Amino acid sequence: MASLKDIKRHIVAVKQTQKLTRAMNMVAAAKLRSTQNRTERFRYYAEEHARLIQEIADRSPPDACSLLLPSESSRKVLILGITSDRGLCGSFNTNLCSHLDRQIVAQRKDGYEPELFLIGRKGRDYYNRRKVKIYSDLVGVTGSFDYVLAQKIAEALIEEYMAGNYREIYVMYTLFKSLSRFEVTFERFLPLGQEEETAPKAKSPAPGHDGSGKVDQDYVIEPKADVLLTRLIPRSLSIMIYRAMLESVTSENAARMQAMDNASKSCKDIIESLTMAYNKARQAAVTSELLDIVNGAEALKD
Amino acid sequence: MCAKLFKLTVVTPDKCFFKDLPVLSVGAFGSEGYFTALPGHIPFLTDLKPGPVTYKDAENVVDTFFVSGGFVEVLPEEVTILADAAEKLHDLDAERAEKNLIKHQERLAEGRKRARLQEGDKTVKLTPEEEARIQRDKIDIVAEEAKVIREMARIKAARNRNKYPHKH
Repeated sequence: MASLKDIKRHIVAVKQTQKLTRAMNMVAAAKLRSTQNRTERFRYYAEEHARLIQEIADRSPPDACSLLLPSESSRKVLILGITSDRGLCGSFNTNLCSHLDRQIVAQRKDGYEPELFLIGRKGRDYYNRRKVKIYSDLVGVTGSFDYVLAQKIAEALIEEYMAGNYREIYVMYTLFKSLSRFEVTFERFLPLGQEEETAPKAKSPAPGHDGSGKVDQDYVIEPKADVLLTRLIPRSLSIMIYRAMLESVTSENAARMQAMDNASKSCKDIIESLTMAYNKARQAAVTSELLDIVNGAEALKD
Repeated sequence: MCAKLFKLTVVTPDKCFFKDLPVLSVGAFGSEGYFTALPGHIPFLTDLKPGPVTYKDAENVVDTFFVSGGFVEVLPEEVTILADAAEKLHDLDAERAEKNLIKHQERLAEGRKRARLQEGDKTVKLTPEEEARIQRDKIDIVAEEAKVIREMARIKAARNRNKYPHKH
């Protein structure tokens, strides 16, 4: 049985931890608020953009832009995985990595060679220890990044694809659904165009414009569809990367907030049970001292 | 009054400028020229030049705002503008735009100089500052050209803001 002093010290330590987790919870909540706003505003733009690109792509000759065509020249597949730079966010990173692991296995089974482009320190550290080729990594950007960075990444990837180094390029990130729901999402980055059944989790269909009694419209496109398409595709790819990063950072903050909330709660539980143990131990000490005194007095009486 | 209305949506990466605003007509500068869309327009897609976009709202009041490029989808019952940025006319800052214009013009000139140099044009001389910069950053001529055009359009829109019909 621990002594009174030990228990007291333990309680103080847990209280300190609780202060820490509370503070981190609040920091994550504040960050979440700002990124969530950004993500939600951007999401609408990205979805509309993706939908329009699809509309144009469907109406232009399949060879209008080389980025639409599957590249058969290589057996390599590149997967862009987005994780966080910092830990203490629950299962956020492990979840993504395990999905990524499964994807790697699946790609290998199909006879392709997967390579990774990793954003975020946690993902890099995880795959540094594993037998997967890392094409490149980017660390320390999830705290602050802008559209220009996404543009640069997209440009680099497009260049690799155009050079015929990769057969397909995918993006894997954590989609922010609500404060307590995140979903690891796997999307094809290049080639654009109709997704085949290869993608395990296809994009949700574009909102609003399917079903709902609308006939398939024929657009007048000015300038020609393929001209417009070549102007828009690079932008659409940057948008996709930027969105994936925004979603990932938002999910990360939400996951951290939740993890810290849980940590604060368990701190509270521990403090409660320790206080109970402390009080019991103190009472036991008082009782045994009292007994000593009473016994002593009894002995003197005789 | 039961004139036909359709819905105007303007979204930019940072915000939703208009969402399903009922309007009577929308006019904008497409890359192939100015167009006006009325309700019931056949489906139409084009990209937008930086410039003013005009619309007439349900009360028959005309207003104008500025977009710095983007593209537009016209459907019989709605118009969606995906803009790089959208600003109200009175938010346009001509002075800032002019400063940006000068900056981008300089960069563009420098970028062209570098390109000529790379092609082996011996008559081009770089100043020492330009030499120093060449190591540090790349200049994307196409992007700079687009920025120059955008800033010029912004300045023009800001200067002529009173000539465009707009709400006060």
